[in-house]
This record gives sequence, structure tokens and C-alpha cells, in this order.
Amino acid sequence: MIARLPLPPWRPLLIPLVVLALWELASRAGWSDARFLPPPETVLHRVWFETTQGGLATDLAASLRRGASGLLIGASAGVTLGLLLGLSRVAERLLGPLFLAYRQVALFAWVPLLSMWFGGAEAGKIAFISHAAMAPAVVNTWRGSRDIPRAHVELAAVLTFGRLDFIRFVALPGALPFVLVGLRSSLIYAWLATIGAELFLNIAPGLGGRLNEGRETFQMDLVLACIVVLGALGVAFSRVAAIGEARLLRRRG
Amino acid sequence: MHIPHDTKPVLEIDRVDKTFHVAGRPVPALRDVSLDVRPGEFVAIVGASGCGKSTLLRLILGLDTDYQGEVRVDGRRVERPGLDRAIVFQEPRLLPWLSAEGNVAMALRRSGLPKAERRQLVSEHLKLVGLTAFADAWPAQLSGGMAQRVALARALVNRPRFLLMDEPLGALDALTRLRLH
Repeated sequence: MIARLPLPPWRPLLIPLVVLALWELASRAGWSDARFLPPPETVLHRVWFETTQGGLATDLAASLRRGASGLLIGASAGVTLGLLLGLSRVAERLLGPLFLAYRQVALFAWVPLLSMWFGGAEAGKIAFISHAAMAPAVVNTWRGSRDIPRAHVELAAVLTFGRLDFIRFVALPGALPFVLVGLRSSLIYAWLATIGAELFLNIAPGLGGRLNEGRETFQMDLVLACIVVLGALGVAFSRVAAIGEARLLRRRG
Repeated sequence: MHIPHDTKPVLEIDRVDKTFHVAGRPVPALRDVSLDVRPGEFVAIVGASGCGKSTLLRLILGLDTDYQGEVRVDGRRVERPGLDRAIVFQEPRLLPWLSAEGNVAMALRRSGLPKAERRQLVSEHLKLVGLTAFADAWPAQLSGGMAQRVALARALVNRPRFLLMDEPLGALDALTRLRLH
């Protein structure tokens, strides 16, 4: 039998560290042009500088607020629409195919339309983020709520539940695992759209704005610093979402 | 118990026919079933599996109104489920996202009783089935017998006029069955 190499606990970090080392090496050896690819320490220094003295906190707060508003609007609209599609056969037949077609349109194809309707300022950005966050919430809630076990439907009928009690105590909790999967994607999409909106729509405080600024003033260290921050935030988001999900579903056997 | 014969029946099943359609072919489940139940009576319906016992209970509950003949409570045709008729299904059918207490309380959602009274009723009925200590337990933590006792508490908590039981002890072990009888 082939002996397995012991797996060190830092194994997930292995590849990133190798990349980092190569990057460092490339900068030192002069293989890369520092104007296009500044060395890691310059980027890290920029992250530190922007966090402590620059306006990164303000930009971050602006992006997060924007993303959260869009997520809140998009996800609640999405869960509502998903429940409607899942619980009403009429709605499913009328709106289902339309929604599936709508989903096939690439996310960013809506930018021109939404920016004409809502403008390129805050309203337009939040409209785009909401729009991006909505679809995954719809799809998953729809899927989760369309196959509620007959046993539960009958139980609700025997207890003479009205529509609202049925949704609140049977349909929504029953669909919760699916809804949470949807909300997790909504979170990712909302964040994606936040940066997209900040890049493509009017300039405003925000991480996307800083990215643009870095590109236009040719400060690659700023661009890369923003990317590092975005990556770190992405990891943090998915951690928080996973923990929240586990908490909410903990009681079920 | 002596039941005087002139008491009017509270539940009448009057020449009921029910046919299912399985893959386009009619499958009769109930044929010309008639039955009167008077106050205080305890009726057991016995028959082989698949003979239509559960179907009859569904008609009495008002879960299914697509049949010939008539099911009447107090002389009026049953159109829909009501809290006057409670059921213990074959399997507990607890909602897995609610505690034992929460599941019993669900039955009182439409009772119109004030909150304090509901709480009182729920705890009384959990005590009745011997599960006071498990009020906060989740269905996944309960044994089959305990879960079925929660279901019994849920059925009784509205103090229904009719308690329907669809082989409620079928899934239980002999010991629990003896105690519940």
C-alpha cells in the first residue's frame, strides 16, 4: 500500500501561498512590470494604508449598505414570488414560463434598461442589485414550496388553517432549506451586482468606485488592494451564511 | 354503557359511495356504506388493509367531498374540515420545525381562545399524555410512541366532539400500545 502523505492543517493555504511566492518572485526577478503588477508587499501596504488612513472604511460602508438594501428588496420580492409560483398552480402556469425566459437574459443586459428607468444614481444601483438578488431566491423558494408533503397539507386542512397560517407554519418552514440555499446565492449575486453597479453606473463612494479610480489613475496597487478586500469579504460572507444556515436548521432531525 | 335508542345520531353516514380513479380505471373504495353514531358511542371500524377505512375517515373529516351519498353531522352535510372533528393519523404527522408543545398549540390556532388559556390547555394535554417533560423536545428527538402521543394531545386539545383515529397504534410497539389503551 502506498503511504499517504500526512496532510498539514494549512493545506487549503498551500496553493495561495505558492501563487503569492511566484508573484513575489516575478516582481523581484523583474519578470513582471511593476506598473501593471505591483509586488505583493506594495499591495498589502496599500490595503493597510487605505484601511487606516484612506477612505476604504467609508467606501466599504457605502458598498455594504447598497448591497444590503438591494439584497433585502430583491430577496423578499424573490421569496414572495417563489412562494406564489410554488403554492398556486395558476400562478405557476401563467408566470412560470415567463420567469424562466426572463432568467435566460444575462444579468448585465438589464443595466441599460434599469439605468434608464431608475437613473444611474443610488436608485438605479439598488434597482440593479435587487434585480440580481431576486432570481435565485425565486427559483429555490419555488422549488422548495411546490412539493409540500400531502400529509402536511392535510394536517393544515384538518386544523382549519387559513392561507396565511398555512404559509407561515407549513409552507415556509417546509421550504426553508431551499429558501436558505436561494438566499445564499442571492447574497453572492447581490454582492456581485453591487460592484458591477458601481463600475457601470454613476461614480459614487464604494469599492467599485475605488476600483475605477485605480484603473483611471493607473494605480494598480489600489486596484489589487480592492480585489484583496473583495476576496476577503466574499469568504466572510459565505462563512456567515453557512453558520446562519446551520443554526436555522439545527433542530430538524 | 347504556345508550338509549331514541337518541338522535350526531354523525350519519348515509349510503356513501366513493370511487377512486387509478390510471384511468375506476377503483371503488366505499360502496353503499351507512352508519349512525350516537352521542357517547365508541365505534370501531375493522377491516383488512386497503378496505377503505382511511377513506371513510377522510370523508368524515371533510378532506374529500367528492363522493356519492352524504356524511352529516347534526343533520348537516359535511362540507369542510372543522375543529369539532379531530384525527390522529396513522403516523404522527408532527411538524418537524416545531417543538412538541408547538405542535399541540398549532391545533388551537383557530380556536379563538386567548393566549393564556391556550397555553394552559396545551400543558394540560401534554400532561395527559405524560409528556410534560418533553414539551420543548423536537419531533426528531421523540420516539415513535412519544410522537404519536403528541399527536393524540394535538387531537384532544380542542376538545372535539368526534375523535377519529386511523390505526393510531399501528406503528407502536406492544408495550406502548398496552399503556395507551
